[in-house]
Amino acid sequence: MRPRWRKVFADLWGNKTRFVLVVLSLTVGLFTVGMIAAGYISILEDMQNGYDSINPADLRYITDPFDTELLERVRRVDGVTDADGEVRLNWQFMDGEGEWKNMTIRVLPEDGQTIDRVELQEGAYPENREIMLDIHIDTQLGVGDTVLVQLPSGTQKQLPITGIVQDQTIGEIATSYFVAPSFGYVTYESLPWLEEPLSYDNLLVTVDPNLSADEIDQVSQNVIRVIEQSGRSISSVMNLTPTAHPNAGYITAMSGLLALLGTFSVFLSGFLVFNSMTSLFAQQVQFIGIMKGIGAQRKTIIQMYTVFILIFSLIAMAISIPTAGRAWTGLAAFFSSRLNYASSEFHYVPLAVGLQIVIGLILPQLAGIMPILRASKISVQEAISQTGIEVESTGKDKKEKQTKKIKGISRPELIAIRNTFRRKGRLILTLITLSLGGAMFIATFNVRASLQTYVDRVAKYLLADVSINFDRNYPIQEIEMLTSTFLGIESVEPRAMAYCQLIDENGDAAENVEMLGAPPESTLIEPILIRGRWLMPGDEKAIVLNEAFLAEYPDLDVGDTITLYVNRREVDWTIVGFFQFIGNDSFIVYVPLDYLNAVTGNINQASNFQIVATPEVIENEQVDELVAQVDTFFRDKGFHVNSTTSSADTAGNATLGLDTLTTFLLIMAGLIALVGSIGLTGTMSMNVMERTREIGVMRAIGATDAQVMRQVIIEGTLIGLMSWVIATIVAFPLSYFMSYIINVSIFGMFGDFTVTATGFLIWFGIVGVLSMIASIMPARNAAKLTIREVLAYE
Amino acid sequence: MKEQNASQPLIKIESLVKTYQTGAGPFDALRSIDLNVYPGEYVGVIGKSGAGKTTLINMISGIDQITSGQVFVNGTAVHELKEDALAHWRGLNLGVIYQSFNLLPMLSLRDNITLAMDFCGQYRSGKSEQKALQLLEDVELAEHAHKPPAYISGGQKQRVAIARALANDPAVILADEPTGRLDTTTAETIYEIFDKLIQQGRTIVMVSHDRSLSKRVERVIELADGQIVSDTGRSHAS
Repeated sequence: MRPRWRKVFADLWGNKTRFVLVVLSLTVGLFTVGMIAAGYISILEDMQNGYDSINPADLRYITDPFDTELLERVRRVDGVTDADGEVRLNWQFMDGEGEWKNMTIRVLPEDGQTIDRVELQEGAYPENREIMLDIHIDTQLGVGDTVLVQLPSGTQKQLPITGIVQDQTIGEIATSYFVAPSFGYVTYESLPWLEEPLSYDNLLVTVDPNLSADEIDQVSQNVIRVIEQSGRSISSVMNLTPTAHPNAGYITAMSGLLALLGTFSVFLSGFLVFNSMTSLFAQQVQFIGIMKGIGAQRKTIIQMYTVFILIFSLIAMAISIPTAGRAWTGLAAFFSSRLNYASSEFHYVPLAVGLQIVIGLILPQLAGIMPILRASKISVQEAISQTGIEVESTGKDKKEKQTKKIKGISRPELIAIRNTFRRKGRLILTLITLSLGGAMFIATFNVRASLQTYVDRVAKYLLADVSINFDRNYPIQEIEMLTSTFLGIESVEPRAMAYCQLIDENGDAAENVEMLGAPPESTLIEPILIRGRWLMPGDEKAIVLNEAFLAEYPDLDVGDTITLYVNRREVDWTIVGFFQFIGNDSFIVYVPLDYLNAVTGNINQASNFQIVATPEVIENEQVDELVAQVDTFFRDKGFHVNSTTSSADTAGNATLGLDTLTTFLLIMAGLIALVGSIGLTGTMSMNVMERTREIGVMRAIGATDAQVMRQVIIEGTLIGLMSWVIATIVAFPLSYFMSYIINVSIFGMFGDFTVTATGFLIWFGIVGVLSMIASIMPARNAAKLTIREVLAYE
Repeated sequence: MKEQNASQPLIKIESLVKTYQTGAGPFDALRSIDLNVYPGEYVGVIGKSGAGKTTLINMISGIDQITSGQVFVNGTAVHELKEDALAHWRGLNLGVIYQSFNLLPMLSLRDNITLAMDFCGQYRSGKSEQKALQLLEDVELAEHAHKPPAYISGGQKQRVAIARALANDPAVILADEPTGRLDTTTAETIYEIFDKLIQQGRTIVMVSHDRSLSKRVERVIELADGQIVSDTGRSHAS
């Protein structure tokens, strides 16, 4: 090897601490960029690909019972690629901890599932009188166990569990994924044993993917005609195109945040790399002078240092490229389990790897080019005469004047303060890195607080303590009478629910809508109104729409009339207001209970009742006991109970998706904090390394180890504090921007913006401790050296 | 070592002026210096601190730029060379020895020498290493060839610096206070090496504030306030 390359390698290994710091800075920077880029590029694609792989239904019809003969006829309709029958049942089951919980049963088609397929994760598909369970809720039951289910009649059946599946369609219809109960899957032939007729009532259809929206509507009309020609009536038509995963909104939010974080991380990494390189070259100036003195030309020096930087780049890339991809795969596996999508196996995302290579190769060279050029230009005389002690200005200096004015601060402390500002360029870069990291960290907590505020407000829709669902309507008066004698119940309020479709201007069914009927005078709902007002006593055809309508139909406004297909007829409603709910894509409306009952023909009847517990029950935290008692009470009296739940559980589940987002944000904040802390550690270490000689002089003239350490620590802490102040300022617009991205992605519009002191305080603690640690390590090293060692030139 | 015409000056300095701009105004480090050094001469430049000795060495080696005048070394107009050409020329034609040794701490003694060959395109794998070992042998440091500079004494470092200065077989050796950091006994060993080099026919210009240098060299030039105040014992005086 030529001596010049030996010099390059000797430089690399000569100072192992510096080598590790530079490689670490580069690696962390590239890792962050790679992981975030891989996430941003693959997260949406993964979710859509995973969802497409289950062949999601484009159209769903809820009809009178039908059999395979109708399916065969539908399959022959032009444009239809497949048709499946399905039955959905609502039962209760006993989980592994012995508690009764709700379960939705999907009955698998007789001739095999082709649409809305579930993916087997473990075990096997069930035979007659067997069951598979979905993975999304931990039932504490597994393959080989037996599950006890309770049918609406009260009959209990034991079903062996043969398999565990992932069902990505949960949340596609009716309730959102996060409030959905456990799901079970049984065979068609088990239906009679389960006291159900041997027929389907849901028709799932997929259409030719090349069809336009209008053509899909036409296919749907043809399917409706086939169903009606068979003598069956349709109670609901759902057009689900373009098919998107039920939790796509959360992924869109994450994707948006990843884009923001990605941009940030490129800057952070850039600053980190730049900082490392500039301080690295500050140490090389003298050597460059010596080399020029013995014949090295400028191009030789540039060539040597280009290779020198390239080696750092290659090492950092070799570590960061495989780890970033794997880290994202791990993170994606976590999020996919929380958001019920199928994330892909580990694979390199070419664009992310490309970005890492480009940044890894170019950025360090760019960061190094200025110091290299500067150092190679410096005259030999200038370079070799550098002593490692910077020439300080005299007392005429402005800063000197300023520091002189600070009374009560000792001379060594003043020196520490002045040292902080000595290398302005590096100080600015360190401050930018640390402040951006800090601002991102603080913003995460503010976004989390904003989401929590929202969650708290959502709970206002669920002010009752217990909710009981029957599988049919019962007279309101009868339920009220029965509950009036029930110990622990303060009051009860009926609710009605109907599935309907929004009719567009062409008269076609456009959207599936969940219609909730509530008494207008209800005090159990405190809505978050976006526009207009809530229901009022005396309202008849009044309707309040959720945020999904505003997102999809921004022209809709208070006072407009909309037509909904309810109970097989078209009904006009007058919009009186818009409310914000839990921010999924579902269309939800509230209408006056009595008017909805009049439309559905269930006058003075309801299938859901909201129960308010007495203050004693709430004080004694006995709501769960009340839930069990109410459930048993009605079942014992022969009522067909679907489920009885506490509102706290429902609200908790409803916000699980938001928790996933905040977890995601915290992970990202941690990563950013790591980049920032490595930046600070690196800067402090290199600052001290550069001043080793100066420290030696100070010790030679009487400074103790403690004094040397104190100076370095004061300097580090001062940098940390300054970065904290800047971070707190930047955190405000950043928090607002991040909240905006999340709100628009999930809720379709910008809602609350909350600022919490938590993030500010935690970051203050972190940055304080980090600054100390980052300073103590190099200060200890400097203090450990003997005076002879630090003053020795070679 | 390249052949030189003994009747022609190896170093020719005409009306050399070097002025530094300082906070207190311009400072003339060298004032109209005229000097010729002939092949094989052993020249000592003495003077008090601030007399301009190091500046004169830096002007000859091109380490610093002249303000006015001309400097020729072995026929090359040093003052006209650009930075890169100057570095290459210096590596091939001059061996510069500094008071502070200026060895690269990350390289072994042998590699410090071969690096000088490498920069000047003189490096040949194997042969150059052998030559470096021979040079170290000449300064009695062959057994330390693979050690870094930190493992040897100051006197030994200066011997390595001399060996490095000879790496490319230069016409002239310039030494700036080569014994300034050494004790008397160690300094003596360094002087002995220079004596040997002179016996081999090398040309040496050595700077020192130590007047005793005048006893060791053939020609003594005394500088004071940037001017030559005396030039004694010249062997090729015109």
